[in-house]
Amino acid sequence: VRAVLGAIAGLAVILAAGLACLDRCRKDDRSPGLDDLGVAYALGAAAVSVLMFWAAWLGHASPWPVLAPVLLVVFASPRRWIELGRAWRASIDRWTLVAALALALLMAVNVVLTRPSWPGVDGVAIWGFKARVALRGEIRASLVDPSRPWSHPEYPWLVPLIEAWFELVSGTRTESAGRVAQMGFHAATLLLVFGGLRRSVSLAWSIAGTLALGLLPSFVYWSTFEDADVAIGLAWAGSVIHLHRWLARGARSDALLAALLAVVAAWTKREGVVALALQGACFLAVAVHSRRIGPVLPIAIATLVVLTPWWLVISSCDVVPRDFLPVRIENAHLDRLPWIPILVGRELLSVTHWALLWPLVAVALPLRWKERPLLPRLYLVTSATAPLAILSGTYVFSTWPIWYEHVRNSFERLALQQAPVAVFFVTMTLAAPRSFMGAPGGRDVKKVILLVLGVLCGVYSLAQGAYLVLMLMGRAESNSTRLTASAGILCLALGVTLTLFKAALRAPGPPPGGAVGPSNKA
Amino acid sequence: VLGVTRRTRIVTVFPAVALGAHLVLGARGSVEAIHERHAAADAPVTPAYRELLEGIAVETSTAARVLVLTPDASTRYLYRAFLASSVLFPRTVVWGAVDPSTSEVAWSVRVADVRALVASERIDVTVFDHTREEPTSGALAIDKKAPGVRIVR
Repeated sequence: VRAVLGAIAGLAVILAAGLACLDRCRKDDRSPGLDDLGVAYALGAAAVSVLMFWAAWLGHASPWPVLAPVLLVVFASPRRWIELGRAWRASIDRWTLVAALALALLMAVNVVLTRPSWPGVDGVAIWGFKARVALRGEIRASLVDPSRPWSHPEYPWLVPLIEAWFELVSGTRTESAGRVAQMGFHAATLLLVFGGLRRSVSLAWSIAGTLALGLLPSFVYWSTFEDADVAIGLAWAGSVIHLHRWLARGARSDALLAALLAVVAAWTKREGVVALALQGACFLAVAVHSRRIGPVLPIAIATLVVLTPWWLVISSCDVVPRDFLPVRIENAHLDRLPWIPILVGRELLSVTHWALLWPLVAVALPLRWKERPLLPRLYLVTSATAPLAILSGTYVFSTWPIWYEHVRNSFERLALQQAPVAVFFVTMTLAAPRSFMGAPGGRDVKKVILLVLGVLCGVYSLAQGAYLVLMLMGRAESNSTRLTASAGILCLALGVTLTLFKAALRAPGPPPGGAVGPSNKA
Repeated sequence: VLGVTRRTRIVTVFPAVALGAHLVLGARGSVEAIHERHAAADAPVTPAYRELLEGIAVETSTAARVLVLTPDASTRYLYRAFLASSVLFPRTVVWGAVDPSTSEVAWSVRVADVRALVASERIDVTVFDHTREEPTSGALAIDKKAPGVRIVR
């Protein structure tokens, strides 16, 4: 009973902290929605883990460093909480409530069906280990311990400290507490996607989109382990949805939330740095375009406050990542480049892992091409594809002796981090197909599809050419069969590329007057 | 006119069909994923094993060096060895196995002679997890007896 009550209390504190952050960030008149609960869980988990980290760093392993500020915020403005409650009641219609209950049921079925205590190897060796260490106030000792490199000392602390938080409040001392946190991330992601879609598309499409994520085999499978990939997926999706909304609507609160959630992604797992860099680049582009420093400030300040101290800590402890070499050109195994797209493509086309998600992303890309205005369209296309491309490229720095085993072992989880954004992107596109395909310039879509395919084939040809050159220079393992096969594949890829470009140039362009996409629908 | 009508139909039907197919395939894949998860749900750690490790943590100093010996480096024993290392932190934990080749990443050492390893690694506590030391040769052998864990100090 204590464990259950403790878990409920732990969840309540995380949500209270998150809702307080959300309320401080959002000063516009936007009505609350279910996506706010997802955002609140991510923000609350980040706030709780940051407080716990510094308390544990100073040797304090008690709930009070978290409880005291949260209770202070909650009881400092009770009237504000009553107002928020009223706004919630007014904004949620009956069908949204039914959809929320259905989501809860979907998650409960998932939890009941996959009840095992086995949290996965990473759940013990990385996240569980870090939670144990934090509860004993030995974070620094764990960072400088050379005998446990498998614990990934360079990984940030959101997930283990949320597990430690649930252990503290529920009184359990096993990894099962991590499962509660994981369930929270799972539910929050579904709520975020549902609520985010509900603000832009119909209820039916919102439910279909949420089910497309909730029934994704990889999402179902990995949600039952104790891992950080669902958590980072939540933060990244929240950041993308808010930044896209900011670009389309211009409300400052959306920019602020996008910045905070990008920082949360980087505080969840190392891959989050890619998300942070992409969002930072987007803010910077807007700042340069508008000649104002304002858009960059939230992400810069949040990075400075939350992440910089952590980066200073790991650099002072000489923590070196074990799985990857430092990102320098001389460390890059460029001979892997032609193989990475094949391995990655094979994973993304695996119906047993992803059903049709990634093929649908590929289909949605050219459809999205015609959307207006330009900036939100470009941003959504980039955020749905660029992180996965960048993360795939990092395997050229893999230190694994059999590097493709590294891809096989980890790429599914990297793709899982991007899955909520991919589902959001696909649903947003498919929900308004007439605007994209049925417009007067519909034939332009064919041209764009051919061009996109041509560029993809061209990139592959370049990689294959680089591999051939490396083999000829003796910098990659080669024999006559490999050389012949590689040269043959290169000729074929170049031929396909040229054919695609030729066909694209021949395809009829849009008629005079052009196509009109949905203005601010997305 | 015929072309436009066909295209309009495709535009109307395609999104629903695509997402419907995704949902059907996803639901089937999810059921398979849950089955797969059940198959791996053999709870590799018992409360007794956890208690035993916590006992060592209480009884030994933080400077102690612990050796965990397992039959192989399969996921089941990987989990048990990592848990030992986690519970016994900050003590140094060395993991040895009769046959460590089952693991994709080499975290354990192949043990030919237990006594030699104990001496070279200056081990204070040895945990024989489903293993035993051959009395004559000192070699590590698999022991399938329950409960399977024995501590030598």
